[in-house]
Amino acid sequence: MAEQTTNNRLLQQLRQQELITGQQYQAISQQPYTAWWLEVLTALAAWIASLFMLSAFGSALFLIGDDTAVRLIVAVMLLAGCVFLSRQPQDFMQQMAVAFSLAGQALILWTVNDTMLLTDKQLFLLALVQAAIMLFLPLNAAHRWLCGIIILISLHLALASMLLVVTAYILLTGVAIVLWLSRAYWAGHRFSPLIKPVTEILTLYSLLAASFSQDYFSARYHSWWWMDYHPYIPAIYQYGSMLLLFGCVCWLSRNQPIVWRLTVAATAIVFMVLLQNAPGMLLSTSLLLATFYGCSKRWFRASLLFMLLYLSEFYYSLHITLLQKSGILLGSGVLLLMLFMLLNYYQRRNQCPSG
Amino acid sequence: MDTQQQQAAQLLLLAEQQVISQQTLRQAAVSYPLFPSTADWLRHFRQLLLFGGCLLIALALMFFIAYNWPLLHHYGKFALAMAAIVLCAASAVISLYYVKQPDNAIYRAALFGASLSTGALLALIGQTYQTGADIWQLFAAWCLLMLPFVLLSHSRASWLLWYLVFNLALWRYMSAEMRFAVFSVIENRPQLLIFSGCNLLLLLIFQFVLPKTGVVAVSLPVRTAALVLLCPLTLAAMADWWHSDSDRYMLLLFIAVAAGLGLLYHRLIKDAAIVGLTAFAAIAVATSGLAKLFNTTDTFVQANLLALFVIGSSAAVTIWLKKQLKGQQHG
Repeated sequence: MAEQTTNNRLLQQLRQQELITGQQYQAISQQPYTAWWLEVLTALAAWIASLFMLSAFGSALFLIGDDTAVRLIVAVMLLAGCVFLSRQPQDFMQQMAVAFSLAGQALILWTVNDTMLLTDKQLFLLALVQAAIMLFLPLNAAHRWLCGIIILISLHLALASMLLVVTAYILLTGVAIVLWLSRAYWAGHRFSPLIKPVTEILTLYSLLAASFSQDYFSARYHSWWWMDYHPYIPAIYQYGSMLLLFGCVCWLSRNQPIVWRLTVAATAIVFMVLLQNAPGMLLSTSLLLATFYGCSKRWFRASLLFMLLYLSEFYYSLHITLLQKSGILLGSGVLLLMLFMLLNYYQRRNQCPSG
Repeated sequence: MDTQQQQAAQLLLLAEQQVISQQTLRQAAVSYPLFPSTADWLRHFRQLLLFGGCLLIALALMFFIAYNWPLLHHYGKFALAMAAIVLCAASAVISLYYVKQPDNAIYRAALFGASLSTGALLALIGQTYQTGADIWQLFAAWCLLMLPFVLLSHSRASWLLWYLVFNLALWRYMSAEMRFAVFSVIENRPQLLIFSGCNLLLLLIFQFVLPKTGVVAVSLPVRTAALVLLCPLTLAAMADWWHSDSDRYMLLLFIAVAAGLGLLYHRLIKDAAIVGLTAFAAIAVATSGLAKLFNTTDTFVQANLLALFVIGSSAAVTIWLKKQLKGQQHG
């Protein structure tokens, strides 16, 4: 509620300064207020309803005839339904559009695979291309989320190499960080309805992988069911995470006095050395800082939550002993408390009138 | 006072929704910078560093104890775990004199650390003496022994930790003593009844007693308790429609709880999130009932009827909830 009051006050100030017209002010004030939990509940209901409808119509249509032409016609109908539903203003219809798109895309893949007998790699690439095309259509944000997730999954399946996966992961996390740090530059751009969901998907992907991939990227499992192993994997994961945190911290402190910049850089280096065996923490910290700078409260909280998840996963990971992990956590905890005291000192000194 | 970060977030959101143009955003950025101010950074990160530091040190202690280092005698380990609790409690007491502000962040973080360290000490006792006790006893003892720290802390984080440990103890107790399996909803109705009863009681305690103990803004623990209460109860009520026996007491319990929560949080306390959660849970239970009712009809008709019901009821609830939210926003 306090946030809403702030928003209303800001709108009034923008109106007074004639940065927005009276018409714009009215339009923004009358926008229906929604909450994240309501979006989640509505999405859940929409997906369940879509599953009922798709199963009913799917089974009825395939009774008419189960051949390539019927499947393709159904797939096109589903994608057309997705376009129609995504033009509707209701949240519910927007979510149903996503379910229709998923069903349509899956049906096309199934039909093409059945007809042309594709290899696994070709199938993953086809899914990637199809989702990439759908991503660029001017549909809703939820649909872009779906396409982004399909692209990321197909990309990982198509890469088929842990070395490439870890490299892609570090690069994509870097992209997510850069996008958050540059939010002010792209927010007003005409492509921002596309950039925003892409940023969010990449952030979720980075946080998820940071929390749950420690053992895979630390080469505890030398082969995964479809991937090969390479000895450089742990190094890329470790140094890539360090580099991202250092880059993020240096960029954030770029306008500060040199003493502050050096202090921040030195702290980041100590943090990196301490947490070199816990790259997930380094990556989550980078995203935490970037989302805070990007003014996204939701993703800032998500980064914190994923940090806690990472800590619970860290306990079970096998790359170092519990004694080493304990030392890492103790050192990091002490460093955080020292930083807290430093900030307190800074704040007190600034509040002191004689200082 | 409005913070620079909140204003920036609102402006960026308006620009992303294409409500204001890039040019307007640039003009507005002169008066309202599009990044957090130093005060924003300090306010958020001071608290984060403090709680993060305490959490990591307490976890370090737990990891160390779990490692069971053979070079350190178990008396040494006991001393270490106890010293951590004493240090945390002492830090809390000292902070009261030093900061001269009751319930300051250091006080709350130190007592949060003491609550975590209590668990580490109990785990160490269990590990050293191999009492053969089930894990639920560890959680139950932890829950009981950290209660004084939690009560004194006036902190939401400590209460959430206590709530988590309480539910873990309850779950492990029912698994060990009452053969409770999470995914067998139909066979575990008596256990679910106990689980729901305990969580309902906790929800009411969080709502009505917690603010009296000095905890401010209790909505997070209350909403968490409502979610934990409603999820298994909804599943049990949905399964009850398909139960062969005539006694559908979980369904009756769900109706009573949902009606109670709906009235309480719509009429008395005005929390649209809990009302929404209850309404959508009721839709899920009603859908299961309809599926049972139309079980013998054609699949095509049944699936479409269910879809129509879910669409219609969810859309109605969403529209109503949006009106409630708007009303609360202006009220």
